[in-house]
Amino acid sequence: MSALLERGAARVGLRRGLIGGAVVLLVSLVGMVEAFAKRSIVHELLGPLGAGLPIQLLDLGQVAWIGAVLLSGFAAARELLDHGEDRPPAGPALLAGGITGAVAGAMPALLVLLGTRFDLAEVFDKARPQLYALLSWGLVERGTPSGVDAFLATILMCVLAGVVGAAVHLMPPAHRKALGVGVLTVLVMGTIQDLLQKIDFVERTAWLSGLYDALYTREGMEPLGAALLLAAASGLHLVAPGIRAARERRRGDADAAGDYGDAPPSARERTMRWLGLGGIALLLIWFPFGFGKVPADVMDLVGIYILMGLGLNIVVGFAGLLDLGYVAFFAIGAYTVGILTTTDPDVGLQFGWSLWQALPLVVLFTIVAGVILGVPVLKTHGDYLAIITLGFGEIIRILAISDALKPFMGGAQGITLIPKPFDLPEIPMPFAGNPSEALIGRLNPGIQQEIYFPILFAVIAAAYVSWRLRHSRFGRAWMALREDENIAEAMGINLVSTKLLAFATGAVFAGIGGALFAAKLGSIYPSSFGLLVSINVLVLIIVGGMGSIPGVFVGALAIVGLPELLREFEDFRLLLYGAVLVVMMLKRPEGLWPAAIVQRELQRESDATVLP
Amino acid sequence: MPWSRRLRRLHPTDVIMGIVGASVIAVVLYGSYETLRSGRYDGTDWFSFLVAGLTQGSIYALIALGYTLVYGILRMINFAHGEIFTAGAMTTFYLATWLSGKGWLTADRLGSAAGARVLGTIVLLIVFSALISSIVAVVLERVAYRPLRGAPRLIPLITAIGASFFLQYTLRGLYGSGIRPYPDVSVLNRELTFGGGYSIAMDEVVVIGSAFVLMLALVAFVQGTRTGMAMRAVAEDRQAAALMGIDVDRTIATTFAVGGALAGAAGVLYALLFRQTQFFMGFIPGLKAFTAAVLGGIGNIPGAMLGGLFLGIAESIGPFLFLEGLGIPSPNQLKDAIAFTMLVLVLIFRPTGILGERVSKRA
Repeated sequence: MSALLERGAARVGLRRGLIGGAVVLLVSLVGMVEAFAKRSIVHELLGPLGAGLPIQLLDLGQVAWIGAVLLSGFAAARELLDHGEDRPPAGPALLAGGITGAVAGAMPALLVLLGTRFDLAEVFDKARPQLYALLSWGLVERGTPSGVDAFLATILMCVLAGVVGAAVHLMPPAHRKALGVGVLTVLVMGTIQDLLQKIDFVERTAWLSGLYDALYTREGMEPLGAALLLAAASGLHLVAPGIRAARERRRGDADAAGDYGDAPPSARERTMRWLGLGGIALLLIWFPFGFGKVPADVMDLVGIYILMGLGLNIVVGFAGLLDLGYVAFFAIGAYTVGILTTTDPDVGLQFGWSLWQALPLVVLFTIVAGVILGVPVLKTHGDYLAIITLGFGEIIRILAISDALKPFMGGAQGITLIPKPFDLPEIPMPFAGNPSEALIGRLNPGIQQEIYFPILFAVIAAAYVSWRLRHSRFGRAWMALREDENIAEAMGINLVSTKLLAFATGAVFAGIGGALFAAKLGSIYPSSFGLLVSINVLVLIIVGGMGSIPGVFVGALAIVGLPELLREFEDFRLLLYGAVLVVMMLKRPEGLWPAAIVQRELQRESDATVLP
Repeated sequence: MPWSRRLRRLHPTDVIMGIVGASVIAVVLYGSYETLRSGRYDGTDWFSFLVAGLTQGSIYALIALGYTLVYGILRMINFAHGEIFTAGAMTTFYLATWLSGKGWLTADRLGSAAGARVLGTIVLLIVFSALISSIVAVVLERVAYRPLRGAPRLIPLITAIGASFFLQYTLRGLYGSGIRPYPDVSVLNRELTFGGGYSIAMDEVVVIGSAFVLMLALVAFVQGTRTGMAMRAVAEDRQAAALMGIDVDRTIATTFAVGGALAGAAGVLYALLFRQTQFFMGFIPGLKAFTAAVLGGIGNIPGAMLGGLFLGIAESIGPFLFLEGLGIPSPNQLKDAIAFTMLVLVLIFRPTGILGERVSKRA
């Protein structure tokens, strides 16, 4: 017994259980469990074995709360590690996992017990009978108070989850990672089922739709398919040490190349890079035809956010000037287009221009706006800069919504009747009816997809510009500025022009983004230009990695693309953004795809920090 | 310094900013002149604007104190402070509704026993809300901010922004997204009338009075207790304070608790005044309270109080005083713009604030 309790297993279990239980209560009471339960991941999880059991399918809601308990068990086992150990002793680890599960499970169990007797919905909006049914595996029916069985079932499942979580930590690290990758693959593939359904070419291509039917039922994956997928992903991860070793080697080379990590690539690497870029370009051009309208629409939005992200990346990532009012430039771009092009006789200037005529003015105005907003903030730094720019953003929005400028900017009703950028007729399709239609679909620029290509072009141009700027004299000046303003100035960098250039370039990117946004939607409202846009853009560059250009793409896909596709997340989008920001800052401040320099710097700083 | 040398040292951006500043002042003066000349409002109107501004301002001041306390000790803007305010106000809503259902918030007049009970209930609500907000603030500090001591400055700020959104939408998830009407304390709707048409509503008296008492209590706490002394010491020099045997982490947690308690109290006062709560009710007041803290000189306790009152008054009088004179339609819509413009101007022209002497260059 005493061997079991060694290293304070009980205490660790209690603590982790309390934390895990709090997380379970939180995800239940904010409504995530119930909302996510609508998305099933694996259908008939246990196959014929589970016929009489209450667990019929694995859904995302269960993943959210049972997963929290499982991870708490895992964390409890990890906490028992001595320095330098891979695996904790089995007995105490399993015990800690079990205690974690029991303590964590007691909280939702108590919630069910209380909730079925008292009306908690008076206070907690989401404390509904549906939630209690989900938390007790269907043992609590609507309206009936829970019995001891439901209470025990919840706790039992959680104990099981805690023990399993701890047991996972007993596996050798390589297997553990492989299992993690496998499970994650199944979860992701199960979650994106809807998304796959929306892709046109899956439907049109015989073997792909065959694969789809084999893998998925109407709700969730086939259990066999899920198992195979898990095995395949885990196996691939296990037998891929070669790939990993190669990556390690490359990283080693980069480190050896000196402190800058910019070793000139070899000829072969360069060819590979160009081939890769060419492939991506072809894929992107084919995208709206192959994937159809809905994914293309989402990509439009992702593209606009990439544009803004690239711009803010220059201001925040390169030059280190935290701008929380970035939406102001987006709004200026959109309103410039709106005012100049709208055909509504009540607002705007009645110029009746097209988007293309307005675009040069957008660039001009945003440069001017960038400089105008830049000049006053030249002397402020860090936190104050963030707040000032936030103030600017709010002022622009308040002005747009106010009656004072209504004849000009439309007030709260916004500007409508913004014409489409192209007025093309539907082109007769040369491929129609022959096999290539499966690949390309119908080329139809008459529908909304038309804005996809201008956005794509703008994104590529912006990425190229910011990549060139990054390695130019200005790029180096920005980075010097970010590191230490005083030293940068002493080295002969002109702070005024450097900062203003960062603001102006960032502003132009956002302005073009806004112009395309206005043209895409055909109408703009002040409510689309709130602080949230600034926060979205900030979150995406932080998730991707500050100062990293590929990071902007990764961040935009993850932060803007995913939630657009997974509608269940809509209500929890900002909650999750907030959590993602906090967790990223605590665990991985350099982002998913960090710029080499930032990564080294953050690691060095965390090594050097001595806490008082 | 002779003028000629001063002129030569003048940077072009300083000239531009000088012109901007002067034109803002000119516009304000011209607008005020026009309004006053037109005689649209008389003394009683201005008096009621002033009282409304003081009421609103004392709430800002209470929230601003939380920003200032945390900034003073950690040099960090607790962006999530507005949500701490909301947490208290929204949670207390249920207690207030329950107590109101028991009749604890009804009385014919304040002088009676029932009136005393109403005041006691309000005190109870304030204490409860302060407690909830304090807990949220301490947990927030423990989970999100403490692991980041010593990280580069941008990182805690981004964490705080994340925490703000997380808390805001957690509150939305927990309590729902609808507007909840706070119970109507009818006895507070009465007005104290003076001669000549001047009057103050009772709820304004209660808000200003409670805020005043709370601020006095804060000053007494910071200046008069050992914990307060520890807080001042940690704000002065964290390392030295640690060497003197002060538990720095605990002192910082206390600071968050105190700041949270003031925000929670402000939440109840705000709810009593506007009679509704919603999950994003704290965001704009939070920003404005931050403005107030900056106005007074961030890190400076009397500064936050003064800044709050000043901002409240400017916001309430400003639209009528100079925007209306400029012929702008529905000037009250631009109330928030005034607050943010003031923020921007203060940060540009006098980032140390009205009372701030501590110039923190890296801030």
